Amino acid sequence: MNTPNRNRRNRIGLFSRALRRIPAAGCLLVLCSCRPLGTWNHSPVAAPPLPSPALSQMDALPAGMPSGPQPARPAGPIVPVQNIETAPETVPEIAAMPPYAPLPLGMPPGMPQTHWSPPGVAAPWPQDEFLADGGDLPPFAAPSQGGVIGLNPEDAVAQYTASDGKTVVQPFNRAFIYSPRFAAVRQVVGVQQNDQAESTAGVHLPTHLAQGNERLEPGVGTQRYQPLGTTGRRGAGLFLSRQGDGAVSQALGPKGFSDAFKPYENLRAIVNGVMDSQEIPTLAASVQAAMAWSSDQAVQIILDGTAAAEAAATTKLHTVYVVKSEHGEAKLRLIKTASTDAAQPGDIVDFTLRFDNVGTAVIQRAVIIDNLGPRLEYEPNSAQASVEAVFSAQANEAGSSLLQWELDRPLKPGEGGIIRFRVKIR
Amino acid sequence: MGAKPPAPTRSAGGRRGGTVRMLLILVAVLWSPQVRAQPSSPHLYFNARTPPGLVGTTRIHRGGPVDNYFQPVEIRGPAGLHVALAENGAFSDPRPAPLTAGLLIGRVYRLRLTEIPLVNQEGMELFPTLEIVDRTYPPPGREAQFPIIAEITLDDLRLALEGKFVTRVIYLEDPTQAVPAPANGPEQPWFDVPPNQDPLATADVLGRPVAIIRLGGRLPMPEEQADPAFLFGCPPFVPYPAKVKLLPRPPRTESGGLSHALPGVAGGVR
Repeated sequence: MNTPNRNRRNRIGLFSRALRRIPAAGCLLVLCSCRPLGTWNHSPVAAPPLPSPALSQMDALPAGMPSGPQPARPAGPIVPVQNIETAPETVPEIAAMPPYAPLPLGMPPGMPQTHWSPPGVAAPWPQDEFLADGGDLPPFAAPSQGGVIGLNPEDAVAQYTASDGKTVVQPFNRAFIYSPRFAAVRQVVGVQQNDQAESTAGVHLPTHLAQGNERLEPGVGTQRYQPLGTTGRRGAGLFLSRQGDGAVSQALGPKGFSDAFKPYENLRAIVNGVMDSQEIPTLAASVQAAMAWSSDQAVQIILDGTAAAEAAATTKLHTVYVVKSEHGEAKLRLIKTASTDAAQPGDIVDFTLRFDNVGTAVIQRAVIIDNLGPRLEYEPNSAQASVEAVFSAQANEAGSSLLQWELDRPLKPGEGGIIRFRVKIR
Repeated sequence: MGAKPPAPTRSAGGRRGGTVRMLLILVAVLWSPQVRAQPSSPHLYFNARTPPGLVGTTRIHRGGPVDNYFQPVEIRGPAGLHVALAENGAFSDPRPAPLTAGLLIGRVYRLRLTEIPLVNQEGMELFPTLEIVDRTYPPPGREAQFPIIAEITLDDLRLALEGKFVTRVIYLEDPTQAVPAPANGPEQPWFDVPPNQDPLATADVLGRPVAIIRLGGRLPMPEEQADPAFLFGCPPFVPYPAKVKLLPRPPRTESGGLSHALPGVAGGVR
């Protein structure tokens, strides 16, 4: 008669015991996933290789993206330059990567070391030493009537209209460049001020409150609050004036494009728009260089009415956006590279944006926008485009420039182009 | 028959198991990569007036590859200023600024500034301290190209000689909040905070503090200059060669060769 109750109690007991073991199992799982702390002291030879950002990006190629060498497309409108001096006829060999080793302790600077980042943290690290350009940071960019909203400094996006009339905004990949800059906070105190503060507060206040109040009055504190000169030094008005009051428009056609590719652009992905798996490590390094320069400086894309689905994250080598409709698929692939991966204030850095229509539908009214961050200063008259486009530069809220290229003609399937510009590191 | 079984009580072993579980959870959280991934954290319990060395020592205790790392630091100053570091109980030969050296994190270095380029201050000396409180992570092999810039301005020197105490907290700017200052400015970007405000806390807000310069006008007695307490124990440093400025190209002679070409060598160096 008590059997059903006993069975019920047994089931409850089993269930409660299982519940008690869940936290212990979770802790065991977390501990097993952690790496030992002593990796910094290990011998460089015995240490396992650290994950490379380039390799992780290779693994994360978007679905449908060819991973091996592809036949080159016929030289057509995609290849806008002539006399490529540095273009190799054969596939360049990739230099053997040195074995990764942990950062040795006590090693003086200048000795061979490798990039180090805490286990489980993606490079580049720490990000406050890198400049970034590209991508789309929250709040995300979206098409708006007559423009784009949500464009942060360092964002770089492209906006275009698909064949079914939908507008899409799509970001470029982020490019990173190592360029730390140091500033200082100064405080000046005098000996007299210290003596005055100690004597009035500590000695006279407890016994002579009235006198103490009188001694606290004479405006010393007011003078201390005075030097808020920071606001004046940080004001962006100086730079706004340098950018001019309004937008500077300038039509750029194929005539304004430099014939020769720059050394860091000597990749099939940039020259021909063909992704070659053997170039991915090199492209990863170049993209990594560009990613340091902007957070809101990523290029973004807008298609009328509909947000494009992102087929690849902005941290990958390239970004492909797809809009499916009855009229075919509009795919725009965006690649952003930088000429260097490290720079000092005052250095000049070239950025190259490669865009290709890899879909089956025509892309219309494409606009490419790059919103530079506060430490990037656009070099006047350095913008180039391999296709006919209207270029404009205007001051942005970060004290830098917002660059915009509006393509004159629609991009047919298989067509693409290159945009270049130059910035100075602040 | 109808007596209920006694209510299950929690045994001592069960309590111990719960305590062990909580400890395991705590260890797992503190060991997680996200916690150790922080290159720095705000200096909540310190300010710039704490004794030299305390902030940097605390950074070492937070862990990471900072102990025994020689962080390249470039000490800048106005033209003509000479800088010397303490070595083996005495100051080394002064070198014109900028002076670059690899300095240990958490240690305090006593500097000797001479040849101060101020009018009516000839022969004056100052003895500031430089404390490194954090490091940078430049690309491998390029550490010397990206040193920490610790700049002492002419105004700092003037204030110190007038008896003021100057504290400079050098910080790595957050690139998203950086001041859009021109690239080739005459000085490092800096600003003043009032005496009732902590410059270390302000630098924490704006970026990551990496060094602290403390500059006053007090001079040591001659016998105190070799005092280990005054020199903070002369911590070791790695000297870097001075920057080499390229000389202007010598004028060419009419024959196309250089004016200083050796006789008998046709054309000289072209």
